[in-house]
Amino acid sequence: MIIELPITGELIGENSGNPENPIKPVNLHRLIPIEQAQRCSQRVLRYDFEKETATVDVIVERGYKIVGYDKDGFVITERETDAEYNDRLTQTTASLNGLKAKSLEDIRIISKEPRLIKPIKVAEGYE
Amino acid sequence: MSPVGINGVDKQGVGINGVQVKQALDAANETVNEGVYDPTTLSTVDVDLAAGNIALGSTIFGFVGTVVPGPGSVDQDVDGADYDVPDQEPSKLADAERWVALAVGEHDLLSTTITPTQATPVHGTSVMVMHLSDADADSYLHFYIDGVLQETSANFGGASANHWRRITFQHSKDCAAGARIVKVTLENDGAASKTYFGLGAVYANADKAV
Repeated sequence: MIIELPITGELIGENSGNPENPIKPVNLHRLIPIEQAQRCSQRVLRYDFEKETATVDVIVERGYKIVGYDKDGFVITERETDAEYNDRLTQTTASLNGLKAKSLEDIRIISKEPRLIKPIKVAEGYE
Repeated sequence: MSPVGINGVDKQGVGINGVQVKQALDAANETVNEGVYDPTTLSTVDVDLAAGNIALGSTIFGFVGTVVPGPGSVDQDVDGADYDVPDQEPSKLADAERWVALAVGEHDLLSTTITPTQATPVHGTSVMVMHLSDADADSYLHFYIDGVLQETSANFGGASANHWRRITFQHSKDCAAGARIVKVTLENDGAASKTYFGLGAVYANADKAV
């Protein structure tokens, strides 16, 4: 599902961020139930540094479940069934739809993450 | 009796008229005709016969394959599918020609950051992860270009323990410049655990192109 999220971090160039404070969408884990968010991957399709937003493709990934441990102590996993995945997909999609219904400002407040820091623009004629 | 060619020359080596005719191996044809050949090596006949063109786990004419399948192979998805490489040590990644290991080692997952100094690959960056902990830690990979987050993986914590998993970040648009620094951060929300991982750069290749 494609959603728009506020971004945080520090912009230090036209398209580059501060490595110590990188630019990224606000943390999805703070926006929807973490057990749903942690099984999603996120791919940023584009950033809009003027609007301070990112368009993000959130993908509900296939999951695994731990079913035991082998003699060396490693976990033994099984892929979740289609029914389990579809159930999780439905729940996560509902949460993301609820998020999409909120304003970007509300999402930012829920995330408790700071606004994007941008270089101060020098007014024309004052360079 | 030896076969006789249309022109009356014996292909076994000595022509009826005393002129020897030699056969030559053909890289485009697997058939080896009867006849006399000059000493050579198969890798001379076909330069594609090289370790870097053979899959890891296969040996062809003495060339031990080193290629870890890259994007474009059957296991290219990033949807959480495990990628099992039996008996493979992480350091073996460094041997692969199409999979150029940029950093391999044992790391604590807590806030580990790897910053390859090599130029950004053409077709994206792949990250192979081998999780060796029995702890059900929540771990994520974050992929940055120029200090800007591009992708975040799903949790690959305990769920992928004891498995190789490849996560491929494909940003050919951003990678095309070839000079940007790629930064991959491994983050662990849970207790400290160990993992093996390697970063691989996927370069332009006709049959493996993304």
